[in-house]
Amino acid sequence: MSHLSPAEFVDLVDGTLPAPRAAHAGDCADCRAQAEALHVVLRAAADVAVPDPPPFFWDGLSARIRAAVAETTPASRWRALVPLASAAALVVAVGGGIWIARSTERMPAPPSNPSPVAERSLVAMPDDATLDAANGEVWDVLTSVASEMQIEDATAAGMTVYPAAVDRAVQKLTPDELSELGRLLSELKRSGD
Amino acid sequence: MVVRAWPWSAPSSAPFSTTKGGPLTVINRTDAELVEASLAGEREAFDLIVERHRRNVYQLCYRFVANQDDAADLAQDVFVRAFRGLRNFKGEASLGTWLYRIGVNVCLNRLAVKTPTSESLEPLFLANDERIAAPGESATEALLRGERQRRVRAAIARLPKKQRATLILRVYHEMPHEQIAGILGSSVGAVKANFFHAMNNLKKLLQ
Repeated sequence: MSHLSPAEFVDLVDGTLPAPRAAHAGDCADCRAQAEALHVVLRAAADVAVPDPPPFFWDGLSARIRAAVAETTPASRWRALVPLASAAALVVAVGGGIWIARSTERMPAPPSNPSPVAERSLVAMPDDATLDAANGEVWDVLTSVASEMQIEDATAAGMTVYPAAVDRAVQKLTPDELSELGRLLSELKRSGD
Repeated sequence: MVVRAWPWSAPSSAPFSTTKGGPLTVINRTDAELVEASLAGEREAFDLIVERHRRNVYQLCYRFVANQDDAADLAQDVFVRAFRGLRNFKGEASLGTWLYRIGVNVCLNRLAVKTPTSESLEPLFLANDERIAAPGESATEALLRGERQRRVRAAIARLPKKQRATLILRVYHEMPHEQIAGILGSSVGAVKANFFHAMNNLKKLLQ
């Protein structure tokens, strides 16, 4: 019979492991030793209490929370939707921008007489040096926008926010995508000011 | 924003003094009723929510940072965020669970950005409770117990964030794995795996 899996060890510690597997834990020296070690660690961890703060601490905590809450107001339903709408618009805009950029890469060379619109697009494309210089600004804008988003708003929309998740996602963007994201965020921030 | 000044002289009876219908009607309300009253603009109702849940929220925060001042700052942040997002509380889980969810997010975010100065220094010192001998315990035994607790607390502080959160919610707040999964946005299987690895890593750190 196979050794217990991590989840089964947890069930064993909880006392919810089905009898046949629990019997294996009794028969197998390795699993028994592991289970006993986990019990010891669990007892040691459970033995650590949070030191009781002084008696006046709780009233002081309530008072400072009251003071901090007095400076804020509950978000209205509409206000709570603003960052989500912005985020949705951003995703659509970035997705669209990237799609357009990639489509453009696959397109044949422009005609010898480009239209004024196409000309403007070509002029607007930054070179590599501009991209590098722009990246610092992108991070500034990103940090600024992200810091204004509320965890509760994201959670209410069904999103799970993990620390550094945005960093990781942004690190995967290509320089072009990063530049486009920065431009869109700048516009978003300007329109919110 | 964290208000760092401690208004010790603020009247502690404020939550119950100005409520329509007298103090008892506020005290007897359920959490859901208090949320509704807070949204209707009764600040006293939110004060009572704080009073009911402050100990659990503070203890949760303390488990993450092992420092009274930081834990108080974090607890304040949790309640301010809860107040701002009160409309998002749908009552599907208990108010306590919702506050835990905010608390874990606030604490994990803090750990992600803060250098570990306070959490690594404080466990070097024994808290007052850890130096006081329990009934029937000698001073030496109390000191050894305190030292054991300090070592465990320091080891927990070195666990990866998700493992630490899982261990804290499971061991100290006795939450079922399903509830922890809801709070951390993971599957039950992932919670059990995190819990197992947390205990295993703790064992190695304590050897």
